[in-house]
Amino acid sequence: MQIGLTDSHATYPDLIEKHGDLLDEIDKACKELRPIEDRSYLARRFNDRIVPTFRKYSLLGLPISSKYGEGRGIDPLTYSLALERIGMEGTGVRTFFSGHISLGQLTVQRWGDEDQKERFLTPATRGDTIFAFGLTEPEAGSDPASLKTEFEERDGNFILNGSKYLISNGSIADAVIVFAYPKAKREGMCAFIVNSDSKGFQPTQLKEKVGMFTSDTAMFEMHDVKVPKGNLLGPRGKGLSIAYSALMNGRLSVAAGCVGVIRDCLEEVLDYSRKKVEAQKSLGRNQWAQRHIAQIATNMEAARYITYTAAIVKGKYENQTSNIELRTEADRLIAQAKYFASNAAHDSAEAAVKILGNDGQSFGYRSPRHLCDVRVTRIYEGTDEIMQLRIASLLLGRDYEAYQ
Amino acid sequence: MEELFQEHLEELRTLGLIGPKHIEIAKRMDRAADELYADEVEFYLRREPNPEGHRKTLGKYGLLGIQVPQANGGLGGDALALALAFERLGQVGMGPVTFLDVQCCLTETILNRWGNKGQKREYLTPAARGKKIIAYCLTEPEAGSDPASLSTEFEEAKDGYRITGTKYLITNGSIADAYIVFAYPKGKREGMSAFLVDRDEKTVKVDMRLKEKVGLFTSDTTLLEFNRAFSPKENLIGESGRGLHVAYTGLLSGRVGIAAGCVGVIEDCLNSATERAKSRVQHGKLIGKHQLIQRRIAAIAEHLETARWPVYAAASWKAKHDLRPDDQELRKLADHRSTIAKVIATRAAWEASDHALQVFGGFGYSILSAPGRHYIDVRATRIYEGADEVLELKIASDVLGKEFEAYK
Repeated sequence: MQIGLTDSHATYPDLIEKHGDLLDEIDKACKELRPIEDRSYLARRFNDRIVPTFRKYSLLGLPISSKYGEGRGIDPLTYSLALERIGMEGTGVRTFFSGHISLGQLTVQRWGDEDQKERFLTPATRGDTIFAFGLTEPEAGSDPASLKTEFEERDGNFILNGSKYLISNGSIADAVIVFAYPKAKREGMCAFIVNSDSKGFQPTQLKEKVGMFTSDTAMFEMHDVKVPKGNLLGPRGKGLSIAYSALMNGRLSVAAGCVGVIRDCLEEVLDYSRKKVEAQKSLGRNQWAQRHIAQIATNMEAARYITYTAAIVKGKYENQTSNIELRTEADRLIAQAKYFASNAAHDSAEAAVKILGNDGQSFGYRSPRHLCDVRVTRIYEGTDEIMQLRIASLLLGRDYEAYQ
Repeated sequence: MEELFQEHLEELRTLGLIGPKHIEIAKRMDRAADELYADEVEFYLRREPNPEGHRKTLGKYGLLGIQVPQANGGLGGDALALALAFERLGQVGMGPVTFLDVQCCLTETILNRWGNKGQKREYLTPAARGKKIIAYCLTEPEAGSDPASLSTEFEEAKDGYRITGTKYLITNGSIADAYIVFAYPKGKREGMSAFLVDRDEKTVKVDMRLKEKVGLFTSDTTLLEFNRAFSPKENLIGESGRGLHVAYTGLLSGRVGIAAGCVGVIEDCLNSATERAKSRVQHGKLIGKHQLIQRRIAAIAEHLETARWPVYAAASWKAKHDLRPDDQELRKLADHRSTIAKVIATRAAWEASDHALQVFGGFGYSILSAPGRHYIDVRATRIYEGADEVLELKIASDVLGKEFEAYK
């Protein structure tokens, strides 16, 4: 840990005893990945070394039960610390984990039957099966209930038709959790695990993003894609609940990753402020620069604690999944963490870019990359607006919901 | 003519702030901007500079010498005419605005104010006619916010001067026919002078067309190495030792141009966001009917108002100052106003493009979307031609008094 930065581990000493080695491994893997991520980012190319690097250290199934493959069975707080560290490497890298683990594996762990867990979680924790989460569509973003993908049942299989859009890991995934309505109905949404090598499954990479160049973001079309009966995930008709439960994990992963972004920006500007000299004075001796540094550092602490609190309550809820009050609390805290941390990360990256001056116009520095990347975190997995409405209605009561 | 722009012109005309000349120039830019648009998007998506395209289309409508007197081959417009033209161009993007700002504001104004007869004949007139592109070379890798600390040097040579040094983030550097270069006498840190240097493959190297740029992809941004580049005696601009003063002549105009371009960016954000709000359906209704989207539309509309009036005021005072260039009081006023306008308009454009991007949701996070492009481009406008940080110090010392200057 850098001198001058709060050592998050000092706040949770038992965590260090239990998981210190694991967090060191994550730190190692991240350090190995960094130069590759640098090169990939500048070339605006997907970073295909994420899986091999993290597989080496068995870090592709962190919160999954050790019953399955390389699952490490860690709790949500430790997993958040891991994602924080990974987030320092870039939102694109962290988004891979959000898709593969938070939205993918954790959803199968929560809702899958034993057969599905064996078939999917075991290879997924090894990086042999990559997951993606297929909810969003071109016409259904903030309102997933309005999605149009449909399924029919034919000859003992489900047949899926529809398009999904802005799917992280969408064109590299082996297994995609896809949400669909029964044909011609607007209720009874179901979740399916779709194999991407199925006939009729056509992914296309989306290349014109504002940032996140090393992340795979795709759209895919499904034309009569056959899904075996054994790949229905969770109870029939519970699709929307499954989606929202997945998004709780997804949102927490976004929040944690954003804490890491703020940390990385802070490290860069502390270093830059000490080294850069203009008019014979270290940049860091200027009041204007100190103001930005203070803002970034304070954002980091605030984002960190709202995220850790959400993770701790999520952990409690996972041990009492029938406790509705606990679920509501976890839901709200996670929404708040995601809303706060994503905005704090965006503000912090902007402040960092200001410190860099002319160097802030170049992707040769890390903070400008973070700024372009982290902008998406105020949109995906629930826009700022949706998070505001969710938080408010969780406090006021469901009858106050104002999405419409 | 583009609607918002037309509304603004009519408003200014009704208020008695502009006349037929302003409108004529505005019309030219309206047509040029329309013609530029398709190419601009195409080059942007390829992340490829298009200075030749900008030059060609803007030149076609005589817009490469907006403020240059007609006697010198220009359109003879004033600073307000320039601001309005740049407002319209900003709707297309800050890439073409940056291109034109260097030509019309940074370099031509210097030649117009400080150039001798020969320099005006050989450089100003061809520049106004689009025959010569002139680049403005002040910034260096180690001298950004503090240009007085630059280290490019000149030595006396036979019949002129030889200039050596590195200039950084120089717009139009790849296609320039000539450069205005600022340098100190060798071994000294005072007496900065300004020189016109012709393009020369042997002594002026375009070291890299900056590829790792965050935005402004259609702008040509370069690093230039001057290696004993020659400037003949007659190419010293203004008085020897008055280089910094000459440089600020350019910046005073340049800031108005950038600010005006940002007003155009906000307009394009408003247009795009409004169109989206009126066509996108989510949660069972047009998103324009959702309160949380409306607040963003309102915010963009407010940013437009807060940005454009300081720009019009700054441009008007600059125009008055241009008629009496030796009037120090007018200079101070124009300087103060254009500094504030630049800080306000660039910040407003940043916030407006952020709002507009958000209105588009996931679709906004893409350079296929106009707000997405504006979002990445506007970042640079808060850095170049005077970063926010240093301009705020300038505004403060304008208010408090020179003895309070706190740059150091």
